[in-house]
Amino acid sequence: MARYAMVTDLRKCVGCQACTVACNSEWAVPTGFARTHVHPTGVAGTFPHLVSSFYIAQCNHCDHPACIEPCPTGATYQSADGIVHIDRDLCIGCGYCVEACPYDARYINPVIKKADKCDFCWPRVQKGLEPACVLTCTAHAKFFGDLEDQNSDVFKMVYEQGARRLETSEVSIGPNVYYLGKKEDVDLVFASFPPHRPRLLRAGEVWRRYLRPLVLGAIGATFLGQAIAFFHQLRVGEDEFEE
Amino acid sequence: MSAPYFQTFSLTTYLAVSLLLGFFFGFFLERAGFSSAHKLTAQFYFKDFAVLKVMFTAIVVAMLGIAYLSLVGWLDMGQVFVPPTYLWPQLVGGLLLGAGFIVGGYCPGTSAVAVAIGKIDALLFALGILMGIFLFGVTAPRITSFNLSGYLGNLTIPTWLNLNIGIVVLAVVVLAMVAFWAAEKSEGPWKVFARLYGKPSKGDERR
Amino acid sequence: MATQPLPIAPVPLTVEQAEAMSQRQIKKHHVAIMLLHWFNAAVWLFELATGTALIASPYFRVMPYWYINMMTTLFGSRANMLHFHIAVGILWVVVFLVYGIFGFRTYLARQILGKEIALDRDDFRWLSIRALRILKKSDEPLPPQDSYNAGQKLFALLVYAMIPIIMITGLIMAFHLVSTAVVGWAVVLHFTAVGLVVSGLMIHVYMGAVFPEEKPAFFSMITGMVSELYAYRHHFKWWKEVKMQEEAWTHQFQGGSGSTGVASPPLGESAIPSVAPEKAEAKRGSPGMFRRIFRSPEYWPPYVAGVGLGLTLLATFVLMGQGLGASGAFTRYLVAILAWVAPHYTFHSSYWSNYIQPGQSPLIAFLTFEIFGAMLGGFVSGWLAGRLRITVDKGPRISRRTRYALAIAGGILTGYGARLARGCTSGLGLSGGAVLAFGAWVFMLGVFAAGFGGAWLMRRYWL
Repeated sequence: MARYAMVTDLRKCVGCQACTVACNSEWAVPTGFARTHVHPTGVAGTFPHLVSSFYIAQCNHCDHPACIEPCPTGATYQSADGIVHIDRDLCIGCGYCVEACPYDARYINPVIKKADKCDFCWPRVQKGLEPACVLTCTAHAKFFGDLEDQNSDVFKMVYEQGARRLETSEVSIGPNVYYLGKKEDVDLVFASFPPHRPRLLRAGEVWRRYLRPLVLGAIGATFLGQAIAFFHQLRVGEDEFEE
Repeated sequence: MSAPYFQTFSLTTYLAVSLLLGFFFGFFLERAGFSSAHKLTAQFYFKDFAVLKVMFTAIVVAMLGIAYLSLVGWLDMGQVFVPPTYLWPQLVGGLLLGAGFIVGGYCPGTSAVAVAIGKIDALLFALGILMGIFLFGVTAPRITSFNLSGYLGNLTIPTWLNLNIGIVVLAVVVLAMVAFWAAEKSEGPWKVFARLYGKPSKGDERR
Repeated sequence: MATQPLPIAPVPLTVEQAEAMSQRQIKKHHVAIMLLHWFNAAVWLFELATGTALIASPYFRVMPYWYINMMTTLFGSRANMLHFHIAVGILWVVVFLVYGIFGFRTYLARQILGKEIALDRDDFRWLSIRALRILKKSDEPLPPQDSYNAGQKLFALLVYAMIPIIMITGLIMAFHLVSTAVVGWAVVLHFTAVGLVVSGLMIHVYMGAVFPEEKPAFFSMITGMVSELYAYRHHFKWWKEVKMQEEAWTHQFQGGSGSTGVASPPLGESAIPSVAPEKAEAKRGSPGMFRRIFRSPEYWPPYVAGVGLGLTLLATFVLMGQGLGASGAFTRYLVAILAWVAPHYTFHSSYWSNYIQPGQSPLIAFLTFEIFGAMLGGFVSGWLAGRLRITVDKGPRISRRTRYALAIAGGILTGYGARLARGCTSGLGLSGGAVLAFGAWVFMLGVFAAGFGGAWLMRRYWL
């Protein structure tokens, strides 16, 4: 089984946003939203040792995605090749997954009112095409491939050239978008855009703290009550209402 | 596999399903009282709005169902027959049919049901329909230009008004509610019949 | 008899009294309420079965994966299951809206609800004693109850409070209404409200289906009737009311009691309130449901028949890809006759040839069979209602001959008009109306305009 991943070579990326544009037009992303977007880190360091680089915001198709667990309907799921999909027929647009994603890779599409995000251009990949952003990248800085294929570019970059995942000691869920480049560049990107802990909507918080215990308690109590009544009924025998 | 399903039917199934659907069609028409010319025409005398109520209820129920099923993608509207609009012939045809309705007491579907329970007048009405259709077939070549006038294709109200289908559906539901309300009032407190036609003549109350 | 005052609490009955009372049936539920109850039960069954299977995420999941997988397989896909869940839910909302709007004064007005679901002091005592008795910790007699006992009232209160929440949150989730944050809240409120109802539902179902003493309550939801003995023992306050009404009725019309027979415990005459006799009449027994719905000579209420017709129309669209029709069938019958009588003319006519396909009879078509089916359906309906009769439907002032002439003239106008419009009231008005075809609504405008206008001219013939 394949294990798909993406690598951005920060040595080549020029921050031109061609990938953003290609993605937006490929997937009809509404204005103001993006499945992938290039964020410049700004300039850091002291002259003459200045550093500047780019962070590529997109779904990381993590090994242990934080977005699946809170999805109430199971619309978000991970296929065996590691790609995290959204089943639009099942999504009800509740926003739990948007809140959960440590990389803020998801958004609620205001047109279809459902969650949306990068799916590594799965419909294209199925046809044997490259993802739109990879194909369009003007500097050939983006790579897509199968980590289990030893001949793939991504395999070499990840396992031989030391491309790194954007993880912290707090949030370590195995993202599959890797960064390759000079250590200070990658360090700057990681320091500027650290993932946040998975969050839960206030509604989910209230459910977990108060509503779920209430419901389970009520059901448990009634169940217990009638179980006792039922055993009594069995023990003393039925006294059917006499007609 | 999305609806409609008729293309997957064998001929026998197709005709059996037709028969079954027709059975319910006729059953509900008869249950509503549409096998009686008296009940049907009472509508136009503001006495009993059953025709309006039944038709509008049926339209609303079917419309909501169709809108919903096509929305979720179960019903492929591309395969559903939407009657084409021929504005002028349909307006005139409606006037003629309305006139025939009040003169003869039935419309085609209801006359078939009325024949089934033994109404002689309905049988003659049905024969009249056949004559009318024959007359039309004979005269059709001479009125071709009128017969084809005002052609607007498979125009629907949402397309015509350039409105979202949901809004039109909602509007029809509201319209139906208003119509039901007005019908109930006309039958009851407004006394439209009594105001227009005075007291019913003797013997009118029998069916 | 009828000298003792009204008993405040159930008095012990003699064997023969109990025997006689168990034979007498009292009407407990109206047919509409029974239908609503079982409709509601079916909806809950379907919605719980699919709803719990739809919650697949580890975070919210309530059912084991094997169940979720089983249900998914049953529906083919989870999306289908969700659509089913939503469709049933919407049907539920619509039916309850109709019930709420048309039944408001009968079922939901304040004084009626107050009587049926508000808890009084007896009810609270009943609850504690009932619980103790189930545990066999008390022998105290249960306080007398209204037509619904305190447990049923509690459940009703819970349901009345939760159902609007379930409906509104369901609609919000189904159609992604308002905003993402609202949908997020709707999810947990939906689950909570359903969970609370389920906790009550477990007792409700247990009491109805398993608990021996409440068996008659279960059957009353099917037959609408309970035995007088059951009413006396379990719903004493309600029994008293029914008795008082009956008593008042007999008192008024027979100049004294007597119809209650030997077996009922006596009621004081002083306790007889002045109750309208029709009300007492309404409480009396009624024929079975099937008889009342199908065998009664009354026509169905137009809205009920309309819903039936609408569902038939919807099924026709789903199955056949077109609506119901009638004039097209007449045309095909005519073409079949013409093709038999004058084949050369028919096959070469620019109009009739539209209906003829090589090697196939014009009768092999949806409409011809459908109208034949409609006649069968009409026949069965008329037969059930006892309306089969060779008659003439006419105004009181005209002769049969006039009526025949008018019928034929009307038929000719109708036939011509229907062909010109390319459909009749069913084929164009009803079917085209449901798919919002523009021409259909124009056509209906014409029909009603001519109908209302012509009615004035035709008044001599119909009134």
